[in-house]
Amino acid sequence: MSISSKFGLGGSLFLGLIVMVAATGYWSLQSVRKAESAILISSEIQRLVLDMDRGMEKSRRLYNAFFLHYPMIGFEAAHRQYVQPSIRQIAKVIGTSQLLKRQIKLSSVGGALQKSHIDLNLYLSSARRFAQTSIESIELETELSAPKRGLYAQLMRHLQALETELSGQGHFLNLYHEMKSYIQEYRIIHRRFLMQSAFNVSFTLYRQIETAPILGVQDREKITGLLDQIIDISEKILETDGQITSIFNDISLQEKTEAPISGSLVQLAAEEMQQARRKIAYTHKVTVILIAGIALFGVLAALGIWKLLNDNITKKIIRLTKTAKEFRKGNLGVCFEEEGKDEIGQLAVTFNIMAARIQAFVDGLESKVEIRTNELKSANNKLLREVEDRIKAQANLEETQAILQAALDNSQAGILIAEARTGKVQYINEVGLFLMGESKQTIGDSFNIFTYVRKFQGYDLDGNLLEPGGYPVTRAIREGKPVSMEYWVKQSGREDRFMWANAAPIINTKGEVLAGISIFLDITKRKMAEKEKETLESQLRQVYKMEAIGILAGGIAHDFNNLLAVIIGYADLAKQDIPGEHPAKLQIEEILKAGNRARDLVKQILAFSRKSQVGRFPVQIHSIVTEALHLLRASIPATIEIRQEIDTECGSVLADQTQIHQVVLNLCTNAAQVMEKEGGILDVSLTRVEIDPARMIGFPGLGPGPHVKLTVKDTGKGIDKQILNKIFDPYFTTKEIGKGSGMGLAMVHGIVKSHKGLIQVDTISGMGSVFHVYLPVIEEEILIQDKIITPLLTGTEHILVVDDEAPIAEMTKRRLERLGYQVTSLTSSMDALALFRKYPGRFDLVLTDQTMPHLTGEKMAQEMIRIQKDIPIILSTGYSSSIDQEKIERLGIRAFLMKPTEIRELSDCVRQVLAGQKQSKID
Amino acid sequence: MPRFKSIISSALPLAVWFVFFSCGGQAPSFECTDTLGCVHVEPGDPLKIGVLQALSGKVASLGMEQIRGFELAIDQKNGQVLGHSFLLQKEDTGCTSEGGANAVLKILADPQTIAIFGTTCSGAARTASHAMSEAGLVMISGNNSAPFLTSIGGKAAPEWHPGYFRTANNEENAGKAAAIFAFQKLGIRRVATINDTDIYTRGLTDGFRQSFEKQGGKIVLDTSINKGETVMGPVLTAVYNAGAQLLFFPLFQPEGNLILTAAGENPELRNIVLMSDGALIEDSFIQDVREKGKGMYFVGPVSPKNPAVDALSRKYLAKYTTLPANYYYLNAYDAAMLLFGAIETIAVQEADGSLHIGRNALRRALYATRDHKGVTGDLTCDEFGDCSQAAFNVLRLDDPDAGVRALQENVIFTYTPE
Repeated sequence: MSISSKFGLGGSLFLGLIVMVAATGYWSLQSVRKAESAILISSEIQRLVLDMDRGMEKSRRLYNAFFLHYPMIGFEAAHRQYVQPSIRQIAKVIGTSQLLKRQIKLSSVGGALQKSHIDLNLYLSSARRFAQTSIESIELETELSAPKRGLYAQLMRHLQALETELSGQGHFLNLYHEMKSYIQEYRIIHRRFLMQSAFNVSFTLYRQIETAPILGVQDREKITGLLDQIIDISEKILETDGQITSIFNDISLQEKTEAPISGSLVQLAAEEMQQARRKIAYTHKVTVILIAGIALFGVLAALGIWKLLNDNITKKIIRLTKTAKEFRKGNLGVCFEEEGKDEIGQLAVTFNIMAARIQAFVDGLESKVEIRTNELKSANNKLLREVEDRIKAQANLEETQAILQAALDNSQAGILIAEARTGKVQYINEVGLFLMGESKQTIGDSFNIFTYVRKFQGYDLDGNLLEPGGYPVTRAIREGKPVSMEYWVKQSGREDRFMWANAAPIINTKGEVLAGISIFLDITKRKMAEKEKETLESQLRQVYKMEAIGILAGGIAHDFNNLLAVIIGYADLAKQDIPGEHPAKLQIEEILKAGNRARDLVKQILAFSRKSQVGRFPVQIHSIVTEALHLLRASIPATIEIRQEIDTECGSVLADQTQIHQVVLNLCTNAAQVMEKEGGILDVSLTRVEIDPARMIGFPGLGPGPHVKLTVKDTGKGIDKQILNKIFDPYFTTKEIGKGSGMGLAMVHGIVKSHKGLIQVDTISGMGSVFHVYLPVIEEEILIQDKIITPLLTGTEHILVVDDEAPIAEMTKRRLERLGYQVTSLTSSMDALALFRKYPGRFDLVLTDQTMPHLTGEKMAQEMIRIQKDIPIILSTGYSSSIDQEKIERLGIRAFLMKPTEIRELSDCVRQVLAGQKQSKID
Repeated sequence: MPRFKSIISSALPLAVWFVFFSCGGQAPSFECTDTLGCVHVEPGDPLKIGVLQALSGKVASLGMEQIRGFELAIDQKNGQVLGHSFLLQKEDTGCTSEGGANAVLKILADPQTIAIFGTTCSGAARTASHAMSEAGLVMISGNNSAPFLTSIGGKAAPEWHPGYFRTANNEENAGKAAAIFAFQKLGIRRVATINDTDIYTRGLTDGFRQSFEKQGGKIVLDTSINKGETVMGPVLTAVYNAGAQLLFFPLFQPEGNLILTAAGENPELRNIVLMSDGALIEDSFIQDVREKGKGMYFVGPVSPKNPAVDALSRKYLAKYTTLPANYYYLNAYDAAMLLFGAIETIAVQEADGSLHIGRNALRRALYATRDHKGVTGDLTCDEFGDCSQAAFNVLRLDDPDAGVRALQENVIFTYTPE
């Protein structure tokens, strides 16, 4: 057993002793308390029972006293003096018994007393019955004996009356007296047979009265009547008496019932008290025994614990101490003899081991000292060699440092080392100083990176202002990790510059940031070069985009021209067929006009995509503006009012009509679109202005002299100033997808520029915008070419028309037939070639489309020329990028027509070709 | 610490077991919904029955026969009903109304009383049944026969109280039977009646009077004596004076005995026909009066005769080593069996054997008695508590030495109400 266990055992025993004493004390206290309580309760119960009994007894006495005294003092007085107090007493008794019942129920009395609630119930019931029956009996007694109105009083009166009636009738009187004596005797002893005897006498008297000759009828009736009444009253008296007797018996039985109950309760209470006293005595005895036993046990336990501790701990410790003293004196061979497994035993074992080791240690010490001395000598030699090596290493280090210093000083990049804690710059090379705009003189000895960064404003690539702690070296110091970033710097007195820096923390072995090192460069030039490259790339992308548009436009133009050829061709035919005054003629002319405009527009698109010059002629701008406004009115909402101020004398401009038309339309359409929702005013004016050479700076790109000024003004919401410089960029638009391609103003700008003009824009937010277009006026006389109507050229030759579009082939055939020609029309180039091969001399002219399936017009023409060398061929196309004038001439094709072709153009071309003239037109 | 933990770990399952068995083992508590309350009988506790019988005086023999009949019924049940034995609290009513009133209080004081068996005398039953009914109990008698306790003419009688039952016949027709016999068989035309003011005796004399006068007879004297009266001379003188041919005196002992004796001693009454009631169909009466009673008539309920009666009488003999003094123990036996059957029907028994007996349920079970095979015949309890079919015999004592058995066999006239 370990020492802890032994101490624990001792402690447990003491604790057990204390617990036993406490438990004994508690138990005895509780027992005594319960017993005391039981005694008090039992006393109380006894008192209540006695009270109850006394009350009951008193009530009965009062009840009995009533019967004794009422004849003397009267009913009323007796009732007041005896009956009422009796009833009150009963009420008290009932209350006491209920209280007693509750007391017994709530208290911790013995089982026998607890079960006495049955007897209490009976006592209570009996007391209540006594109250009830006593009152009944008193009422009956009153009925019987009340003066004047009581039965006895009545009986006496009747007897008196009878006696009066019978006075003088001796025999009858004798019977009367006999009867009366029986009645009076009955009244005393209340035996029924006496009254029965009275009845018997009255029967006899009755008989005799009935037959008595001396009595008159009236007297007889009176007497018999009195006898009958006497009998009746007597019967009632008997009945009442019987009831009273029954009640007296009842009361007697009640008394017999109650008496044992109270006695039993008192007895039980006394037994409870006795039991409680016995319990106290018993508790006292047991407590004394227990305390004595615990004391004895305590003494024995103490002795046992003392012996246990003494033998197992104290003595062993003393022996161990002696052994240790011997050891201290130098007797290293001493040994402690202890074999116990407790802590002291383990201590002894440990001590012995330790002593043995010390002994062994001392024994081996000398040899070890010698060995150690030799080792020290060799270590010393080694140390001297190391010192020499260190001196050499130090020299190498200094050399390396010098090299490093030279590398740092001569680096092309700025290098800076700053202390982490203070921010003091411990090292900065010359380049670094230069990049910072400082010198050794300006920085002095207290150059601090934390304060230095506050001298300028730094911004990251997103344009956010850098905090002092957000620069690379300050971040590296703060975050403890390398940082690489670009930023640009604004500093007063210096140009803005872009910087690149790579910083890293210098951390010691403990992980603490000692300093920050930063390598930084000025990359401003590189950044600018990058930006320029970006711009060029953007422009190149724009060129590629335009090229793509050109290819697309080409593709669309071909198909679109084919469709226009049909529209213009048939409109032309219809116009010819309609008489001059017919109202449809005007409409057909409008169709032709629109078709021609569409054709011109396709030409514009092709021209725009190829950036080629279009045909320009002196034109009266005012007529184009007027016509454009006329067209515009139909297409814009009525909520937009168009105001125009056109100077018809403003002059002519060398321009492409269609392009000018396009400019007016685009500007007006844009203005109408911004006023589409809420309406407004579209103001268009055309005036002649003179550009003063002194004021040319306000008109960049314009020369001095007269110019036509076209102004288009709207009352929309204006143009945002931030995008004002972008509105002429291709594809730039603020409209929703599908509402605008962003090419309108770009086209306007392009057209104006190509006409050596200028376009300017002013805008006021919320009020509207105004566009000014300046075009130089030409002074040559304007040749207004009116349309000369000459007759169409006709012929009779046989023309082969080939076009894969059946409507176009048919339309062309009709047109040529109108012109007098004989026409064969085919929609297959293969068929046409086969026909031509078969009948080469049949045809005088071949008019063919270029783009046809299986065999293009060009190829077919080549074959036809091979068959018949001089066959004239006219090539017609909507658009073909593969055909130009040179190629036509090379192929031997006589002429080239662009669809859609007007009838006049067609007739002229056909006639010219047939007449042997060489004509070519390239649009 | 490990030791402490081991103590805790070993004590914990014990605590859990204790809690489980003390809480989980408890059955859900019974909730009494009976309007009159319930009696809860713990496992092993007896069923407490209050016994109100005349245990003193001359009528004690009647009371004793009632108790014996009840005890035989207990034996028939092997001393137990629903695993519980019986505890009989016997109280003496003394055959008076006040005696019944006081005796019933003793019974009612204990709320554990399930039912009351009694009374002997109808007078005691009058007060006892009132108190019993108010307390919510049931009371079943094998002896009461006064019509005033149940019904008269099919209507509730003045002293009827809910919860009162009897297996003895309602003798509202007993007086009638006697009157018919007297008038039609004996040719009597003038009758004197004496009762002891008890509702039983008065009921009989009233019944006799009504029937006799209806037939055309005359009641020349209708008088009473007090219970306990010993001097009968004057009342017999009155009988003589009235000129009665027959004296109908349905009294108990000893008053009946004294009347008979006094009548015998009065030469003026030697020719008068004497008739009494079933209360005197008692061996102790016969043994007391002997030759003086010879020729006397008795009107009483028809005594049952069947194998069950024979078997029960054998049991009576075996248990009490004497023949029964009268046959009213049979009614007591039937009353007890009805009561036990009703308890068995309505008691709610818990798994531990405890019982919950609803008081109103017990009443209803008794009122619901239909064609119960009793030793006295088929018993069906009506709404007023009458459970037996009434039929009356007029007996005549011809051979006092042959005892009550011979008297019971000597049926002169039988009357069965329609």
